Amino acid sequence: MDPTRQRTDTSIHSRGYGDTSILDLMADYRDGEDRPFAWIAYNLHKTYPAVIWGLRLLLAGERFDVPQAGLRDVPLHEAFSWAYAHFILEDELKDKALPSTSTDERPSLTRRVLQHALAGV
Amino acid sequence: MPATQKPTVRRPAAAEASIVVVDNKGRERVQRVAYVVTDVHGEPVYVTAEGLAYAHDSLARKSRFDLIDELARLPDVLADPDIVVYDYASPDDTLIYYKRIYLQPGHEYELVAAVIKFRQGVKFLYNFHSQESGKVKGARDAETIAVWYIAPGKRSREFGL
Repeated sequence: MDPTRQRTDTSIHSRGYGDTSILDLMADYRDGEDRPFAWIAYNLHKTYPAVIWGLRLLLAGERFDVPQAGLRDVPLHEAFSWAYAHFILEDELKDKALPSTSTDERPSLTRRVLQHALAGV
Repeated sequence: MPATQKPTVRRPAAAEASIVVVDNKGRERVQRVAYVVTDVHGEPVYVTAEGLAYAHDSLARKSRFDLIDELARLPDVLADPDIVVYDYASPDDTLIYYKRIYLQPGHEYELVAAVIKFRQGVKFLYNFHSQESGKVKGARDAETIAVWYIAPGKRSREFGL
């Protein structure tokens, strides 16, 4: 048992990660739900362009909140671009936080990060 | 070395209290070794405090607190896995150890995955999570999967291969 764990924590069971149709990307589902709630890519540092391309092609309509990033109602490729910028690039991409403007006026984080990711190819 | 064995877990020797791991951008990072497991092929796997913290945080964000408790069984997953495969997306530096473990009444057995990176001669914990039963990563395109180890009596098709 984790001694620091609060007793109020309640586990919510999930199916476990399974393949998606996108290279390197797996998704997990809550029991009884048909919309994924978590994703994992072991090699996002290498597969980011392919993952982003797949998300834009196959899951363009899915929108999610990313509380950790202060992002709300963003497409999945934007969420993954934030994750790539935050966890992989770290300090290499300055000012990666999105400005708090309306969705339509927001600059594309994906465009900026993809440009950065492809610079070394 | 026998094909299966009781997990051998030891505290790090003084010289290996911390190790240098290469991160996803090729940067060297010093991590503190929590313990060392001898895996099913007799190779040392370094389980670091940072690796455990990352796995813990990932599971907590998914509200899989039951699996956080199962992190204590990581040595068993590494030393006595059901199947170990190379990650098809990065076979040069990633092995995935799978083991079906009993979690709690109602959920019965669940397949868990320990993701191990090996870089510059060092094998270290990268992540730990649940896996959809009977479907290892990449099972949809099974011919691309290379098996590193399979336990006696297990068949690859049990894991979607």
